[in-house]
Amino acid sequence: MGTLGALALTAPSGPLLRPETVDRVVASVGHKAITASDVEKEYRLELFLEGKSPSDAEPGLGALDQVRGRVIDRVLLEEEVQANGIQVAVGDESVVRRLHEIRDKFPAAQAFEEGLNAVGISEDDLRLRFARQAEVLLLIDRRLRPEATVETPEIEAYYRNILIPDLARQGQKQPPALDDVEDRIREILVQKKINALLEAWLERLRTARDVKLYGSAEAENKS
Amino acid sequence: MEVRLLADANLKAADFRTEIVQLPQEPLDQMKVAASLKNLYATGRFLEIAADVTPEGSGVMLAFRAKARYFAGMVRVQGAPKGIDPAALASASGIRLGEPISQELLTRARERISSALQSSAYYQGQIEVSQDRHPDSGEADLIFTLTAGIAAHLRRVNFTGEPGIASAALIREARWRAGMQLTSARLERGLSRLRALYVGREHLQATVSVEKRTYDPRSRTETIEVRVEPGPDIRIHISGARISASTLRAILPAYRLASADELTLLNGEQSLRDYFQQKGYFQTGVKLVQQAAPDLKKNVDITYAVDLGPRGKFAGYRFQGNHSLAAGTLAEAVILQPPNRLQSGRGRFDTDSIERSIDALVNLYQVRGFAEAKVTPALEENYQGQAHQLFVTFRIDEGVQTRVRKLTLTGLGENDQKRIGSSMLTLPGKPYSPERAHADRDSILTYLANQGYAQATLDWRASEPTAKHEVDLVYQANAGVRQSIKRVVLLGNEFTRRSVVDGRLTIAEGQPLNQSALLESQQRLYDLGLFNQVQVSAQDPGSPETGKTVLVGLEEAKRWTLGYGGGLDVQRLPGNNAQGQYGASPRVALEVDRINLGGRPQTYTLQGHYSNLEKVGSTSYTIPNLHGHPGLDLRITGIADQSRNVLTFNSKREEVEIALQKRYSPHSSLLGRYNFRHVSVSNLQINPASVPLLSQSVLVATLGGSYVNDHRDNPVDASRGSYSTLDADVAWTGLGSSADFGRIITQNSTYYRLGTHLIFARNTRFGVEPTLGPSSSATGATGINQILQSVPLPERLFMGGPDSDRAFSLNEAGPRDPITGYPLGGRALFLNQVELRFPLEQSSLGLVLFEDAGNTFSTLGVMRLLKFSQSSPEDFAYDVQAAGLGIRYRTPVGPLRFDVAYSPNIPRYDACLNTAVSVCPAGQVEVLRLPRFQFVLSVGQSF
Repeated sequence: MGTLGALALTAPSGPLLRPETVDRVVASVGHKAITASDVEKEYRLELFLEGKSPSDAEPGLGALDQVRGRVIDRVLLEEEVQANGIQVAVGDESVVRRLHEIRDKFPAAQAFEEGLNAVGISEDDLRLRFARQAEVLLLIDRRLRPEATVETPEIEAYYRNILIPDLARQGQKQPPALDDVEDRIREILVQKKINALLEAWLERLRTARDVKLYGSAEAENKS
Repeated sequence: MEVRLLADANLKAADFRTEIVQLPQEPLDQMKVAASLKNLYATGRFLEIAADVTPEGSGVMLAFRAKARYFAGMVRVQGAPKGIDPAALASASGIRLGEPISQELLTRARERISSALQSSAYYQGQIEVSQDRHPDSGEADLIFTLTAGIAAHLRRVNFTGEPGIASAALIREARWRAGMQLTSARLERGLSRLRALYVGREHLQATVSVEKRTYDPRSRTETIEVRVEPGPDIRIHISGARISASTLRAILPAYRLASADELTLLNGEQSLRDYFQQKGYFQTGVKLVQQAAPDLKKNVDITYAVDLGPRGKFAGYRFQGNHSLAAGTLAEAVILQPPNRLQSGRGRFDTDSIERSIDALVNLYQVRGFAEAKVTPALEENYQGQAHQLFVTFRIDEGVQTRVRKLTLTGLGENDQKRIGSSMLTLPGKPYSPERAHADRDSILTYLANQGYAQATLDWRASEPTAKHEVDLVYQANAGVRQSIKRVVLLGNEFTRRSVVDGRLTIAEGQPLNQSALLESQQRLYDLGLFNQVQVSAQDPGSPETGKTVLVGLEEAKRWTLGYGGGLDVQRLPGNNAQGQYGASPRVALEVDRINLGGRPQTYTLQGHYSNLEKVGSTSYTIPNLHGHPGLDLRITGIADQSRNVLTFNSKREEVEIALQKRYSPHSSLLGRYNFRHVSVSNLQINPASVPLLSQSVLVATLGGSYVNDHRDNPVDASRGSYSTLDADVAWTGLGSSADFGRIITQNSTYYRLGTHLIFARNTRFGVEPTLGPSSSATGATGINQILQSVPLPERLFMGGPDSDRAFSLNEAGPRDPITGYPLGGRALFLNQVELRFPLEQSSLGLVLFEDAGNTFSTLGVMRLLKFSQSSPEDFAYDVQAAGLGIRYRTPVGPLRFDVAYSPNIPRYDACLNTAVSVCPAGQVEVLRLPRFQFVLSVGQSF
């Protein structure tokens, strides 16, 4: 129940008490509202996924506004997933693997369970969340990878201008041959291009889907 | 715990029972509060919303504190400068009725209005916007208040690019003068004239555009920069065939579209092929040859090389092997055209048309379930032994028809299935084709949309055909959410009664949101004639709300209209002889209309015109859709008229008419009327002593009706269709009339387009006035009284003039007074007219050849339609003919007409040298003849 439950239980009586804002709409995508509690929950979830304890974390200045931006992007992409009919089952191998990865970040099963409780979600919710994430990744891959083409001169330039100087700084005097690292460099460059394309696409989606922000994600909620 | 909604509009928590899932008296739950916030926001009624909790007694009070979203109501613009229509600026704002109001929307609207003002040279306009909010409906009228400032005057026009023509000449051509206010209309007209100038000089690709308008606030002037790129001088030639320059300009798309890009030039090949194939050169080949001069930018010579081949004639086509479809049905798919019976020519034929006809025929069969239908053409080149006479036989192998064995419709209720099922094309036993299934899918989706399921989807699939050529069909519908009308809000009806608007709406609260009904309501409101603009739209159409508010936005038309005008009346007037003399008089006209009388769709009209030849004043009161009966109109009219349109007398008429008209369709109507008029004659040119009845005032009361059946494609200048009328009236003493007689006039016109430049039109008119019962003048009447019998002179049938028999001047046809020679009208008339009209496609001019035949007869009994010559000057009972030539100039109100008619058998008539006698003494009778030539200047076709 979190803050709200505590407030309800401990609220003193008296006619002069001022109202307290317990939740509010901080952003919208079309007619879909994102509340302050959604953002806060997302913040705690992000901490949890990093293997940190969400219960004792206090968001830093501007952190919730950044989280709100990520929630908006997630909503936009999930709408696109739905429109494209992409589905990943909760029992999918990638979902199970991701769950194991998160579990492994915690020292014990109990810590994992406590983290889930602190976020306010169940393990099933988490599986569902990973399935949605997998769908988004699939969508990005299908839509953007064909556009993210990398030419040989770009690979050579990366090898020459970035990789070799980096390795030299790390003390590796004999760099690997270009042929040996070409595939890896290609993938790095493809990912970079996908990220740039994704940012541009999200920008277009934000305009098209009438994204609105209402104040800061932090201001009133923290009062 | 208590739950409230605090908003700056009349919105209560009770209105959102389904959205607020955190219920009173239940423990406060963060999830439910968040869900309530989301649900409330999703309604689209709120801009910002927060949940506040205040401790109260032993519990808390939960308040959803919201800033309500308002939606665009009427958009009004105040302070628009002279010459700019405020409604046009409101439209330029781009705000749609029911659209959510936001700061961005208002900023955008202001920018658009500002841009519209600048396009008319108002650069210093200030625009303020205010909202007149209606908290009950959630609408806000948006009022844009303008301070337009002073319009900039044109200082200079700079031409850039390569105009090749002196700037002064270009400015003159564009009609832009220094010091003038360059409105957007003047600017566009000028640009258009400049483009035309370059195209006329063979620069088909010329572009003329405004690059920049620069305003100088100190001098309040503007300078415009116009870029001119004439492009190459393109000259088009034809080799291998002869074709006139004007025809080439008419048919080649390069000239018509003023473009010489590659595609347009290639399309010219087809246009030329079509042209020559129409002339019978069915094997014409056309090849575009582009010969560029040394300087490609300046000169380009285009040549179309034409190979005509032999000239032939397309005799026709027939079908063989068609068992399921009649030849008439199949012929609709064939593009080939044998020569029309009414049109000489060689028909239309080419191999491409055969291919397209075969495709269309196969498609016709496939749509009807014959999936394997085949059509093979057989061409006879010397049909019936004549060289180059072509005939095509389409040999058809229909194959087997596939039919529906089983139809399954899922996702719909039983009632919906029953309603849809009855009208489906793919019911069991009926032919199957994908096209029929698509048509059924569309009709199901339309049905669902009309039931409020605008987002419905439908998939269908068919099984593989069985050995018996049968398929099973499955339609799977997903109706989605049903939207219904929560309420209907009227906006902008300042004077019009709400009941009048309600009566025209086909939507109501509680009904499904039906787009067809919204459109129908809009059309019905427009039909009232009270509104300049009608918008019917759901509030916030994009929101997923299931209960929709429908907005009806009305912009009332001005209730008072004043019209005035002037002109010149020219007609023959009584003079020294019975043919009259041309007279002219200035004419002024005034009309005042008042619509929306008492907030109802009723109209009062007062109009009149005044000249020395005719003085007419009339007033009318019209009630359309009487007592809510659609198409039933009541009209009460009063007329006072003093005219000299018949040479024999001046008439003065006071008349009242009550008419009830029923419109059965856009084409046909029936009218019943009661008419009471008092007519007196003066300045009688015939001897009143011999016809005492004529010098008396006459009261005529008639009861009658009219039927009109109008199927013309264009009422002011028809080229196809028909027009028929029947008028019947009875004048009876029992109704207050001083004479008993009847009148029947019927007319039928038909129009046929025989080619692009040829229309055949014909018209026949027949009228008769039978006497009913005895009358004083009929008893023992002799001489002229015998002619006139009991129908008073002003009520008799007159004919002649621009809109009837052009052999005669206005109302000059028929019997004439033996003493003075003036026309007396008749009691029967017949008129037959034929015209060949040649509209010229590329200009507003046209030519007409016509032949009119007919006359007015003293009685039906003496009507001789096959008698074409006059036996004596007293004989007027024969068919007078006139042939002639006319010129037409197309105008928005119909063609301006000038006709010259020549009549070979125009009547002669007697006139007595002494008109004071009742019987002309011997030796004083003079025989005169009406002019053989008549000249007609008028507006509108003759029929």
